[in-house]
Amino acid sequence: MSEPKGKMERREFLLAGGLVGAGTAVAGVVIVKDRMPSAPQDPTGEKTVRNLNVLKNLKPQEHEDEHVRMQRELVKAMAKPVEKRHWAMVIDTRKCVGCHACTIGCVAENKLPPGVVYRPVVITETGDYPNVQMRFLPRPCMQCDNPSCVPVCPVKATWKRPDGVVAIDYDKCIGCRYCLNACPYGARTSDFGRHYTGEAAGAPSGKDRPMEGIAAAQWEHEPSNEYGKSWSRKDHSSPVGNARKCHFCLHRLEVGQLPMCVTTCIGRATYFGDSNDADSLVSSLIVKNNSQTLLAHLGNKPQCYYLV
Amino acid sequence: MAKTTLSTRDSGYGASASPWKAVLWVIWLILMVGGTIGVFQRFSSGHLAAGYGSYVPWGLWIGLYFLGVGISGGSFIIGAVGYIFGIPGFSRPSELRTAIVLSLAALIPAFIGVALDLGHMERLIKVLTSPVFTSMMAFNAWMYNIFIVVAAVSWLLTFKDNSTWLKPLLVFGAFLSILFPSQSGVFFEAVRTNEFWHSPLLSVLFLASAIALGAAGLLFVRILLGESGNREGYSNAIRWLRTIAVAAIIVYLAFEFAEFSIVLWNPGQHSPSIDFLLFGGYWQVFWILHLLLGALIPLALFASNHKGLWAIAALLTGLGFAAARMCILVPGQIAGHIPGLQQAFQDVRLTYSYHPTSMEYLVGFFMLAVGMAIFYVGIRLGKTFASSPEHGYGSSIEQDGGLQSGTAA
Amino acid sequence: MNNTKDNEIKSRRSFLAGGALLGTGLLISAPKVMAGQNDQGSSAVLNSKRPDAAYELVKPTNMIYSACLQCNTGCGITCKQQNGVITKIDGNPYNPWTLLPHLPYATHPQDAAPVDGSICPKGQAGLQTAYDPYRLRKVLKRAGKRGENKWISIPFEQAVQEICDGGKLFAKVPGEENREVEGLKKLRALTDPKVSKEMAGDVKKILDEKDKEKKKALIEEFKSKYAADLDKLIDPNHPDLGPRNNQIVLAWGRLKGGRGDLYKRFAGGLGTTNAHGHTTVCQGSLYFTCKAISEQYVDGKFGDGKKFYWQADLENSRFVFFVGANLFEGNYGPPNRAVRLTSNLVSGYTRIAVADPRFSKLASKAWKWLPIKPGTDAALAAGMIRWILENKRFDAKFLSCANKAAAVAAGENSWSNASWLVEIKDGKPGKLVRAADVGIAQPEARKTKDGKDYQEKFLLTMVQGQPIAVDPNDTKTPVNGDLFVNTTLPDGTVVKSGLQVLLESSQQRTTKEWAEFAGVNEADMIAVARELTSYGKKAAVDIHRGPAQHTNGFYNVLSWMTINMLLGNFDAKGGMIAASTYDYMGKGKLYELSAQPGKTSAFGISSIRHGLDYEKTTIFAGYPAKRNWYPLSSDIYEEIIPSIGDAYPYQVKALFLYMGAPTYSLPAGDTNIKILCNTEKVPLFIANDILIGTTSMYADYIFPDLSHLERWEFQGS
Ligand SMILES: Nc1nc2c(c(=O)[nH]1)N[C@H]1C(S)=C(S)[C@@H](COP(=O)(O)OP(=O)(O)OC[C@H]3O[C@@H](n4cnc5c(=O)[nH]c(N)nc54)[C@H](O)[C@@H]3O)O[C@H]1N2
Ligand SMILES: Nc1nc2c(c(=O)[nH]1)N[C@H]1C(S)=C(S)[C@@H](COP(=O)(O)OP(=O)(O)OC[C@H]3O[C@@H](n4cnc5c(=O)[nH]c(N)nc54)[C@H](O)[C@@H]3O)O[C@H]1N2
Ligand code: SF4
Ligand code: SF4
Ligand code: SF4
Ligand code: SF4
Ligand code: SF4
Ligand SMILES: [Mo]
Repeated sequence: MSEPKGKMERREFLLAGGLVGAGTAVAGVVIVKDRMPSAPQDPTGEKTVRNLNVLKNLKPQEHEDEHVRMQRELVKAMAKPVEKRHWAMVIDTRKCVGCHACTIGCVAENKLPPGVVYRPVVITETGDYPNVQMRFLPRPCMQCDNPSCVPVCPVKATWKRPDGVVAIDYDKCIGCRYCLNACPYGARTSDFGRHYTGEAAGAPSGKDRPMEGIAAAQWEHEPSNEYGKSWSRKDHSSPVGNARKCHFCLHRLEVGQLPMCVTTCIGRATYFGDSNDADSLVSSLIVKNNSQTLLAHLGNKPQCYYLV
Repeated sequence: MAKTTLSTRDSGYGASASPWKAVLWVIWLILMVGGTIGVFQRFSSGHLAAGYGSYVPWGLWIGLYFLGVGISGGSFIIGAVGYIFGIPGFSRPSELRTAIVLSLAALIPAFIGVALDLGHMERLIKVLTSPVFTSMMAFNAWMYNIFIVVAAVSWLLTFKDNSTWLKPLLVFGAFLSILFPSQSGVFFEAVRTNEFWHSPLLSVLFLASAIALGAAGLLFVRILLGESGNREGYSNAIRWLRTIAVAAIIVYLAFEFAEFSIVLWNPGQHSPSIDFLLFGGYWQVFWILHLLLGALIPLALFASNHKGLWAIAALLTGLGFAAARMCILVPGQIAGHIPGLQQAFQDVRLTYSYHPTSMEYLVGFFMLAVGMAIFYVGIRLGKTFASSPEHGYGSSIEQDGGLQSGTAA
Repeated sequence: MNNTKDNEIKSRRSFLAGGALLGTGLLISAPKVMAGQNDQGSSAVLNSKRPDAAYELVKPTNMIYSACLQCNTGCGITCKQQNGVITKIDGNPYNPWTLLPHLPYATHPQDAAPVDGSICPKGQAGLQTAYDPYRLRKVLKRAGKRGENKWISIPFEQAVQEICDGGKLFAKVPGEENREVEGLKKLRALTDPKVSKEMAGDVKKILDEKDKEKKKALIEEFKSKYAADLDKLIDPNHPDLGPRNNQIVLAWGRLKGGRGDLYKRFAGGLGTTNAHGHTTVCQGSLYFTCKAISEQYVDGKFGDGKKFYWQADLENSRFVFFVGANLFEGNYGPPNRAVRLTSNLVSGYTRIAVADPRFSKLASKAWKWLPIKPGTDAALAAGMIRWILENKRFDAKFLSCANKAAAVAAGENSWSNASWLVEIKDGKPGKLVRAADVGIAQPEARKTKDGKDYQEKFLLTMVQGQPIAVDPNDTKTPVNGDLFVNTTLPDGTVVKSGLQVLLESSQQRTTKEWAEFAGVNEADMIAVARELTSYGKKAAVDIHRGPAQHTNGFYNVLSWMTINMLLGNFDAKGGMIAASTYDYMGKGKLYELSAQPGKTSAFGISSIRHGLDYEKTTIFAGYPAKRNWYPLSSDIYEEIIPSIGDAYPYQVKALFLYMGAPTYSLPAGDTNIKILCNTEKVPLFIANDILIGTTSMYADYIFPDLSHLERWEFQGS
């Protein structure tokens, strides 16, 4: 019956202090270290310069479609190394007709499954008859300069690129959905592995339908080209199980094309370009006195602006 | 299964002594069978059978995860502090071991919950291999793993006669276990864009609940395990634990009230989250599960001096804080910043509402069953080691009495 | 990353990826660094082990230009494929509806490839139509009662065989064991081109004969002349019902150039006069009104009107009043109209107002929204007309032009009947006065286009109080008539000018009353009228189905078009323009599939009794007729099936339906279901659909169709 002694000896005390001290120190260090801007995980410099001959053989027409003008500016921007570009989007809500072409264009372009959407168009109705009004608010990812979604990611799967785009590497993402909760704009959605035609075909459940989407039509199995890579959703492979969001169609920029939601905007309400280029259309629009950003008070510094 | 029936046999003497034990076995079997079904569903149809989506990304499992973390931290702190200061009823290695085992039995299943919640479970390890410590998730994951090591080592050291490392480790473990419940709060607070979560009070709430849960948890298992031939130590511990639990629950309620009172006295500040929590579709979770069953009734039962009632109070406390977790988790997610977003693109997984599915509950059962199993095995291992000759000190619970009904007192 | 072996593998991989990108040719001309190639491995955009992949959808070799028909606006599209599957549909950059201005036609496809036009979401969803899991791939034959939705699939050849030969086709279906179905071979009775041509001529004579007795005689004559072929007629005693071929009825919903030719060719082959479209359920009354107002003065009569679909010239209009036009959700169509409007709205160049019972998306862009009561458009228009006339805010210069010469002199694109005089009989306006009838001018002997002699009597207008004879088409002597005339001619005829008649009818109610009638606020109505008349010809009333799709649709449309007339904006920049499209048949009509040498000429009363006066026919039996007759319009969708139900004017034996769903799209369309399910009334019903549709589900056979991405069809409308 040797009752253990009820207090600590000096030695034990020091050891304890040491352990706790060390623990605290290490914790402090790693957190501070990770706060520091780390070297970009993206290709930079010369190797990111693109000399595209897009539109080079087409003389500018007078009153050229704004889309064509912006595409020329895009080609110009791509001739700079990535760190010299800063992509920005401007959406003129007065020109938006609420047609959802951008939403669907994006869904088709990026092969988005049910429940995944990068650019919904929010429609709000206000007022009482006869004084009623309808407003349209397309909502891509804001590519925030101070993105609240990035620091919460436990595995570096999402980060801010040199050109301002907040990217996700589906191969790194573990699908914890922390970033979904951290984005105030609801811009991130999770790919739960569903298929439109698979569900339309109405296969009861299990393998055939939602999971593998075997019943789904071929077009749903074709890989998407996000980030210039090939992503096939077959057999629950990424991006299934990952957080997904708008990436300003980096893969289209690579080949000199404007983002899909821009080119398909029938109201010509969506502008896109390099805000580092003083002559670009977006640069001139961002500073207009009717230019705003969403939820500015949260301090995310969105790079998608709205003209109202 | 085979293993368990076996162990039932060789701990047979306890079974006769304790009607509870038989009951517990039945409960465990039910939980395990149901749980296995749930886990099977989870793997056969991925997340499709789950109720969470993209606008409410986290559901029941994350709630249970934070419950487990709480129990784990709380029981370790109490066990360690009690041992270090040699408080009767905590000062024996066996009594310390009980706390450590409970701590691990609560922590490990919690991980199962998170793992199953991931979109890519196979990449779980990345959190340890390529962490970013700006993320509370990475930080906590590391902390827990270190803690598990610390706890495990301390557990082993309890068999060694007066080891110089035991107490320092316990202190470090206690330090971690104070840290991580409060860090669990930060897990939510760190989401600066979420008004409901972005409040420093969460750390305090999580810490208070951890202490309450640890106390209640220990109280329950101690009553379950019985006096172990150290009557006054035992009843001293029970009384201590009761006091701690009561105090912690009251602190929790106080801070919780502090949090909501702002809103209640400042209508301008009225947030949809609070509305949902107090008056929304799931008002029962807050008022009945958390407040009435989970706090007020336990307080009342603790007030009595019938240990059997304390055990029930302890259980209710656990249930109550499970509800309390959901009361923080869900309201923080059902209020989007952009009105009309839900209508903008219609999909079952793009709604600002959350209803746990049967699959989620069954997986919850699984977590609980695993926890019980770990605890049982842990206790038996302790017994086996301790009874082996080389460390033959002090009669420990394993030697006399075995598992007895606490109601005997 | 320092593992050299690792790098080797990567760089080889990246080389391949780079090569793939190179394959896209036009993307990169001598780039400093090939996309997908750098020291890190494959990472043009993203550093990672996953290799870069070329962007298939930008390769010209993966693009097919076509026309969208997800709605029938028919925008130009680019179908982009990967691995032979279309995965993206975008606007065709050569098309003026999706890019403004469109790329020059001379642009090389390689240069055009990276340029996308803009189309609406429905158009982009076209691939889901093509790859719809529910699409039919085989011919379906009914295996249960009609509408029971029990089917077996049979080979195409068998289906054709059965339908042509007829017989006990549904012996397996309970209740139809002994039902004999007449096949097309039997129904296609009259096949001789010569005979049919002659018969057609003689039937016309019979119809045109007004005298009862003579009509009888003509019929007898007909019977004896064609004694050998009488069995080929529906009813020898009523030759004007035409050949039994007419008992085959072809109906269609949306049908465009190319496809239309094939369908007409099919009808021609069957020798039936019954090929009817759906226009009346669409915006028929809009077409027919525009046909009426565009009628020309030819050979002393009015005719040659065109079924115009006038739209506002959004690119140049300063003010547009949209009435029942759903620009951003429907219409013809969102892409081409939105792109021409939004920039002008934002720049302030253009202002719009909207009259719609519903607050449409278009209304959200409007300076004023008039929440009009459905069906009361004519009232609202009348109120505005009254205000415009009384406040002299109309285009007098245009309206006074009484003939072409005047219009040319005034630099107008057209002229109107505003100043022409109308005869007033007991207070009511009647015919246009002919100068020769009232002794103002001598009749003039002239020849018609096809060389017949006729007497030109001229119209009459008042010039500073003097009645003057006018020939609207006269290009030499300009005549500018007085606009408001209310007088009696020397010979005692009471006359008023067209505009005077309009003014008086608009004065039947006060502007306040008109506004109340339409359920809108008078001040708003006047505000819109003022704005509308503040931009000369650069303003327009743009209307569509809203006012048109009512039983009073003709008058609604006429009223709105009249306001455009008062603005003198037809064919004017910023005014009303008629959409024109590229001739899909190509120069020299290369693809004129409907041209069909040696086809039997169809004749006889149509199953929907259109384009003909009841009174002229041999089945005239006093009033009321069993069902309405439609002398002026055509494609009366809502009559096709009910007429078959009443077997009036005659019983129908076989019904073909292409791309239509009348049971769904017609008002009270469900009443058609009972008829379609009746095998007595509709012995044979063949549908052509891409899936089992809301109406094709009642058919005996459903032929699977090609989708709009796979078939020969263009925007010819
Ligand atoms: N309540 C109401 N009724 C309306 C209208 C309205 O706005 N409201 N709009 C009116 C107007 S404007 C119109 S034009 C009519 C249209 O009405 P309809 O001309 O009757 O055409 P739909 O109702 O569109 O039916 C189309 C049918 O064709 C099938 N189909 C689709 N694609 C193809 C194809 O590629 N090939 C073939 N062969 N079949 C195909 C579909 O499955 C469906 O069965 O509806 C009118 N009716
Ligand atoms: N999305 C889509 N687009 C289409 C088609 C389609 O099927 N779907 N079909 C194409 C075809 S075939 C057609 S014909 C066009 C039709 O295109 P539109 O005619 O432009 O659009 P609708 O929606 O048919 O009707 C126009 C508007 O009339 C309003 N309205 C209803 N009653 C009245 C009334 O009494 N007075 C007035 N002033 N307004 C009224 C309605 O609220 C509606 O907003 O769309 C074409 N485009
Ligand atoms: S919008 Fe959301 S997802 Fe996009 S960068 Fe900002 S915070 Fe991140
Ligand atoms: S879901 Fe993926 S991207 Fe988002 S936080 Fe988790 S790991 Fe990072
Ligand atoms: S930029 Fe690309 S990814 Fe982002 S919303 Fe537009 S289309 Fe979608
Ligand atoms: S495509 Fe353009 S007009 Fe249509 S909803 Fe999107 S932003 Fe608005
Ligand atoms: S508007 Fe043009 S693109 Fe849209 S569905 Fe109609 S035809 Fe297709
Ligand atoms: Mo139509």
